[in-house]
Amino acid sequence: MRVSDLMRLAMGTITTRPTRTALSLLGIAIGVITVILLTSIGEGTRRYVLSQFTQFGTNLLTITRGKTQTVGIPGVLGGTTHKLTIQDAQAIRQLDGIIRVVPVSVGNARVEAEGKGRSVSVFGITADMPEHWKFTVRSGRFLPPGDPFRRQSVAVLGPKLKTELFGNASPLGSFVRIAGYRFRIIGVMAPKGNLLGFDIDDAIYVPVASAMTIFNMDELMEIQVAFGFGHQLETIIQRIRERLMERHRGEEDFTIVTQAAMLETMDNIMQVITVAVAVIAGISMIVGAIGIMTVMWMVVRERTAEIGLLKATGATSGQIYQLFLCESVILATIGGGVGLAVGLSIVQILPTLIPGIPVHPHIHYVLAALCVSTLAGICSGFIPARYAASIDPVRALHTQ
Amino acid sequence: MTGELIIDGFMTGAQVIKLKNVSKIYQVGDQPVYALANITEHIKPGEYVAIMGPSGSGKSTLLNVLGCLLRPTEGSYQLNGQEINTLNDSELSKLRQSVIGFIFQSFHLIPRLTAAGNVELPMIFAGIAPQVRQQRVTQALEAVGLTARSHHRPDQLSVGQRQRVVIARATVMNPRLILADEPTGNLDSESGKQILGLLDQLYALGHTLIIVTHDINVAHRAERVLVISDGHIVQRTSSCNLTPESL
Repeated sequence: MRVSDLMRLAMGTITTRPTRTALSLLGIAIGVITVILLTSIGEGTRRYVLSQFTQFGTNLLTITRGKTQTVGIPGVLGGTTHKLTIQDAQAIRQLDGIIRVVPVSVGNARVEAEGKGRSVSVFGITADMPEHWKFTVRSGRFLPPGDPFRRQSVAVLGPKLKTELFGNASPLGSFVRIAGYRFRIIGVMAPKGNLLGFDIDDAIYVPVASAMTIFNMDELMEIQVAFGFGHQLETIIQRIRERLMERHRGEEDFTIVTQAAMLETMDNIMQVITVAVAVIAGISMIVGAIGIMTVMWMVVRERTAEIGLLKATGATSGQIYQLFLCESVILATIGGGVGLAVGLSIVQILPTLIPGIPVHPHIHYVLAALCVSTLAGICSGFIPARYAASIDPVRALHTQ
Repeated sequence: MTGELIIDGFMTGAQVIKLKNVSKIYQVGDQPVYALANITEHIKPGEYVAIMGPSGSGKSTLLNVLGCLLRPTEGSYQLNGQEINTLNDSELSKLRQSVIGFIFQSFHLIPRLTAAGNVELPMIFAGIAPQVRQQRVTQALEAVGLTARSHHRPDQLSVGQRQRVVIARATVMNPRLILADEPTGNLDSESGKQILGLLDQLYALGHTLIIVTHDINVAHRAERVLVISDGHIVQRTSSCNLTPESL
């Protein structure tokens, strides 16, 4: 039997009962839609997260207090964790290959001005911060360079905080109170938006020493480091490690996180989540396949007499098998195609319906969904088709 | 039993099909039931044979064995020089495809296909090219007077027209053996006459016709009549000698 004839006969059967056909392929279609939708959201989220991190550059390191990977039993071996200090940051800055160091202290505090108040994030940083995080100043100027130990009472507002406190008026030269401490506003940052859901624009920036005073802290949250592109990452890490261990009495009580490692970790996590979501969504395709199998069983039962006729007129068992399997595969493929079209359409219009939602269809998942739907058709049609091929023609011809 | 069922010459003239000491046994519980018992008979090529007998006598079983839809439990049935029992299912299908045409009492037309589509079916499974199929379908429908109805589905045809489509389908592969199971059983007398007329034409063209019927008038059109009872051939007679009393 020619493939074109096989397809024509199978399609003829499928199109004869459009309602039943539509219902039987609905399960597969919903499965494919689910897979495409969820993996697109997963992939979109992955890309969003990565873009949020890569926007700062790839030549960055973050040094945090404590060790994330340790050996031994804490306490028993007498390990001590030293504080990360501004002196540590200055010591790192002197290393060869280091082009910028930003000591960071962060906390939440109430900021008040013009009779209004708002609890926001207070970033204690230095003058290098805009260059380091690719921020720009919209009006005025950023924190002045100089001695990081100097507790200057100057502040730069995030654009949202500025609007909340001062409206359209210029805040430059005005004063705000941060947790009761008085600061003069010298600049307003340009809008930056969100970073992983955190509104960077709703913040205030002060000198790191001032922030430590506000929060009554004698240590930094982290030290941000940028190194020159001509230097090996491992060499830079080694230099920083040696210098800090030297300062921390031989203890490696800090963690150096590279941007690449962080990106890789984030990427791995997001990929695992996306695959897990795809697998869970794929289970719905099994339900769809069972639907097709049920319909194919009904079809074989209904067409028993027809099977007898086909065998009497010379169709082999193999041809009968092919015919019913082909019907099943076509059903699943149409279901997959419909699911693909609807799924991709939803992905296209979703950002309009839900602004800001990160969606990005991934071709691998789309192809996998189509392949799985076709495979579901083969699997679901296999048993009914085998049964149809094994039907005794004489008994079949006597079936009404 | 005397003689052999021989339908020879429909392929090359030198080939022979034989049915000898054939039994078809079904197991009902522990008891074997003989649907056919030790049948040995022969029919010449181009012969028109009617098989008669009461319900459950084994007429249809014999027809199914002759049509290679059933394998004999015992005995030998040779078709085209080949022993049927030695052929696998696929080879039997090929044999049915090329040598045998079936005409059923209940038509067995596929409702979603047109008359032309139903006639085309055997050729599709034989892998015949679409252009050739088209030509043969046209000829077959023309032969049964249904050219104008080729695009009608079975539910748009009268019962007589449906049976004519079945005859077109049975003959489209130009088989030499045509097996008809009560071909006029579901038809009114006028349609029945038309169908019997078509069968007469097939006989005249040299097809070997074996027809199962309860109708003595139908059997009268055959050359020879075999009467079956309880799986045995109990009477062989020329149709001329057939009377209701002789059954």
